[in-house]
Amino acid sequence: MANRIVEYTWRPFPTDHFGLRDYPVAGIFLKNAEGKWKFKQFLVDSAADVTAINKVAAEELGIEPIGEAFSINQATKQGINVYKAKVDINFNGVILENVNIVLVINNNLRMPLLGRLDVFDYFDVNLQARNKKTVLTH
Amino acid sequence: MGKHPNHTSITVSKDTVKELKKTKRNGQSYSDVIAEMIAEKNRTELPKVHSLDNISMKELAKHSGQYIAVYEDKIIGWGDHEGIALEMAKKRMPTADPCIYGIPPKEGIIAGLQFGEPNS
Repeated sequence: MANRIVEYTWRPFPTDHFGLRDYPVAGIFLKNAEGKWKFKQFLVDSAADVTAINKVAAEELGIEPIGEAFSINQATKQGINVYKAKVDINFNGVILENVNIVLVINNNLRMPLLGRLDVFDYFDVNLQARNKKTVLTH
Repeated sequence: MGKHPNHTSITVSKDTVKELKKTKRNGQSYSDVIAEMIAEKNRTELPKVHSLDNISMKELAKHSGQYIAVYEDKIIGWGDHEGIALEMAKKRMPTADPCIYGIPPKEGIIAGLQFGEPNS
């Protein structure tokens, strides 16, 4: 079977101390409760164990939390409270079903994060800083 | 078009009927065929993306650390999270279906959510 390849161009954003910095973002689509795809821009985060969106964004999509809230760490070791959920994700036509994600309860996630669980298990993720693009290959 | 719990009558051309006949499998009604086609369309059709491409860096910088709602190259809502940005957008343009973007704070993002017990 031929490899399935999806590419995302990095996007510059202003920073205080380093001028414009390119962020490895990916515009992907999440399935809402009506079965329609809704666009979200994610930060591709190889340091994140799991994909995360704010709970308010999940509510807008009709994504239901599963079970009790629990706590996970940010890189700074501060805990944040989340729910688990599952969602179908569409990477420009490559669809992953029932991806495990977390919903951040206090909605303080600055950007949705595309983490490793289920996503990096499916794709080889190549962050190409020199080319300013992310290449997902399955 | 056959009996279906959500039955709706539509008039279609002879050519459309020919195409439906080709698609129809044994035991399927035309309603089943159309329901499958709609489901497949929903499964694969992606919505229009209102991108950040034509929004200036100066405009984006004003919203560092916020979420913004973008529609037809314009920022029509913003706030600390997606819900606030979308609410503002809907007040300004009730029929618009904007795309929501998180703009990184100027101090950058420390991401990396990790499983395990937090220190605090």
